[in-house]
Amino acid sequence: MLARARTFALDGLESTGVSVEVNVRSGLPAFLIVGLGDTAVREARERVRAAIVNSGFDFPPRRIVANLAPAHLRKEGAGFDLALACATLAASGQLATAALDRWALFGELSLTGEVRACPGTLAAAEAARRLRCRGLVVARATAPEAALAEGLRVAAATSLREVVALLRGAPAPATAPAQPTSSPAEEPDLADVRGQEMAVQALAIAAAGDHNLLMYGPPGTGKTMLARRLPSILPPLSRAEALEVTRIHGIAGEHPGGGLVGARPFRSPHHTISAVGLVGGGARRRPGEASLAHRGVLFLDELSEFSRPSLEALRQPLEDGRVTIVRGQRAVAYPASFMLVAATNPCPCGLEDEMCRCTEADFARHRRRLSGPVLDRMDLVVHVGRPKLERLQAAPSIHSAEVRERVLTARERRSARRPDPVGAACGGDRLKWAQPEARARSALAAAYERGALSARGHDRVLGVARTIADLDASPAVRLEHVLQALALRQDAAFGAQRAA
Amino acid sequence: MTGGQPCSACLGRSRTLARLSPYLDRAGRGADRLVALLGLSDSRLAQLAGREADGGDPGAELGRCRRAGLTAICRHQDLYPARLRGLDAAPAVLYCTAPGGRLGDALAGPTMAIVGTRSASALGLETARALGRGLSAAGVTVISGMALGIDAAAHAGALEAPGHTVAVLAGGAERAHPVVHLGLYRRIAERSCVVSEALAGEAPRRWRFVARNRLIAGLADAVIVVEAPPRSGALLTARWARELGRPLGAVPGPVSAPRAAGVNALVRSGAELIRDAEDALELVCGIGGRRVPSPEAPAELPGLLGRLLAAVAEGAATPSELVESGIAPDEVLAGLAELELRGAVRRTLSGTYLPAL
Repeated sequence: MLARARTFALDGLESTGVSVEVNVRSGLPAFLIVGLGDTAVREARERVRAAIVNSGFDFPPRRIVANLAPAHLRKEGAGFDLALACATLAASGQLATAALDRWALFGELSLTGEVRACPGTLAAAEAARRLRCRGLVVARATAPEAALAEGLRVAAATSLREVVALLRGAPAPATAPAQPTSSPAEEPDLADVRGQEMAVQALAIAAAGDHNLLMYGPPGTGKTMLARRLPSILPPLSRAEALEVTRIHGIAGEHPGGGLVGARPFRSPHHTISAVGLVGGGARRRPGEASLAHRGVLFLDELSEFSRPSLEALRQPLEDGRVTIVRGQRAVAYPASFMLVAATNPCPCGLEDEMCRCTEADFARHRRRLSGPVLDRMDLVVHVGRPKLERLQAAPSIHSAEVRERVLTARERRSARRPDPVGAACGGDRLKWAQPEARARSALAAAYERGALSARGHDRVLGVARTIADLDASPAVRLEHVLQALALRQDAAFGAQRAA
Repeated sequence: MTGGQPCSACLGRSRTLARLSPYLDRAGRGADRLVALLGLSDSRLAQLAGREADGGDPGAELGRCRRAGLTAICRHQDLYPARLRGLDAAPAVLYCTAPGGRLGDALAGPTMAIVGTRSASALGLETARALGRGLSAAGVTVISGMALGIDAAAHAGALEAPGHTVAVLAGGAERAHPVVHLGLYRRIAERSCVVSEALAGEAPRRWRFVARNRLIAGLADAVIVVEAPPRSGALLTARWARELGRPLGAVPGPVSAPRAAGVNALVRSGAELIRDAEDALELVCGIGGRRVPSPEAPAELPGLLGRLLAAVAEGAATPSELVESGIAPDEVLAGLAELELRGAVRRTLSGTYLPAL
């Protein structure tokens, strides 16, 4: 006898429908699963068999073949367990086959028959809605997450028995969608930072214009602390963004059963991370840190210690806002649109002033490690020094709430000025968009003429100046805005030194 | 003395030294021993090294030079620098990237060597550059070794003004050493010339660096050391300068800085204290002998910019330090950028600011 159940397989950051067909016929007792499954899918045989028996049902002593269709799609993980078990029960006459049309199933089974949460529930729920499934059964822990897919009936179950009861027509209580679990206001506050006005100003500019930021300075001056407080001055995620972030984190298993992500993600991978860890991929395709930082902040501490291949791998996400990974003849695109914040020592020894014994060659080597794909795209470079003692012990002078207010207003001005010329916009458009005053233009021209700026640098300085003007509530970009942007630009200083 | 071609004996001598390089490296440890060895005749040297004295074929030697684009000048020619004539064991042949006349022009007026450490601080580089520029503007030829750090900064500074600057290399003069200074090498060769006593194509060996430092001191009327830790090669140049009776100057640094310990010791032992190009000129031309042509007097900077510049000159090197002195962050950034555009301050690779000297 044949039964068919509906479940979902992850494909990149999306989920696609998978139909689980189970056929039970006479023959030597066996349980076979076909359809390009990984080890977790192969091991489902043992889990499903034990769960069925331990829930008080019969596991038919016959030849059982389960097919996961479409057969070409690689299937990973344990989310197929529930559908396999229910289809087996239906195929062996313990459940009406028609019952399986009403509900799609997504969940892992324990040997006792308990339904367990598994990664990617939100992605599965969105696929269920897209495929017009009538309802979705998931583990109780992940039900609120699944209920975020609006218009989908979601039933929570704790055990296989409960699932069977649901399929037999028991009433399913409605599940309330998950609430945001975090908000920018709950993030660490800038009030903890003392005496770093310059760095805070740079953070505000970065937050207002989505500019990448590099902080450098001796160890222990608060670079990491400052970066950690960037999400607190960024606007909260919109609902669409929050769903996207929740889905990505859910698939990576970073956010099991949690609710909607509210504050922007902040990821700070260790510098020993591999390129695959940073942008995703690997034998089991998994989003990397760059995708986990999507719509948020990717913080690279000790930037010069990251391996060259890792930093090179960031080139595509920095340009396109996504990562394309080709593996096993399939390409997967992970969204990876993040704000890059990095911190580094000013020189290899990390000391400053007279104590530094680094030679020019050491320095050049350190600089070379930093340069290339990442340093090119740093709009803001700011020094974070040791604050004076009286500042360190003073009462907090800056609060995230005030800065966030300024950032939000500036971002509104920015979005009102659409279209925003990003990337390859030509200089003329950019000038029209930024509206620099005559004196501002001539300062920019002077910097360019001195050989201190590249063509890209010229445009980027203008972009930063526009953001500073927005923070200043100025309709036009004035001279002081361009000057500030120039002082924050790293390669503006290069022309002077390169000749030596 | 003749014009014409370099003589065979000198070319032979030059070839012999190149062939005996491994021996000179070994036996010539200690600068005095090296000079003693270089004072010996070809045959005596070859005998000590256990080799046959063989000067090679002078004709082939000249051909090699021509192909490498070098001019050979032997000590019997008029073009040979007069300053080297009094030198014990002076190089028999100088190889020069320009026709001999150009070297003569460059060495016709007063000359000054500026040397220092390779691991220089930003301030040291700025000082060397300002000295080079000032001397060059006053018509003094700047001589140095084109090494990383101070040497290169001095050459670069000299190239910013119209004067001559001569680089003395330890290896063959047809090739930039260190190679990162290829651009600088080309600019020096175009403006003035690069010289060496090594044969065309010869890789620099240790004894050549010692001999090169002596040549720098020999070609200069006075020597200035900018930043040198206690065991710097620049201090060797200073020692040669003293032995050759050339006036010696040193730019002092903070007493706590290891990389200034060598120069501070020089000042303590009687070297002239050098603060700027004016002081340096005094060393070579006497008081009031020549003046650094000063460009138009810098305009008095208005309020905030003046305060910022004063703070930078006092040593508040980073924007965050300036903020701590009570100026708002946006004003600090805008002010520093304006000062930089006006050329009043300079931003270093590490993002700190220095007053432009």
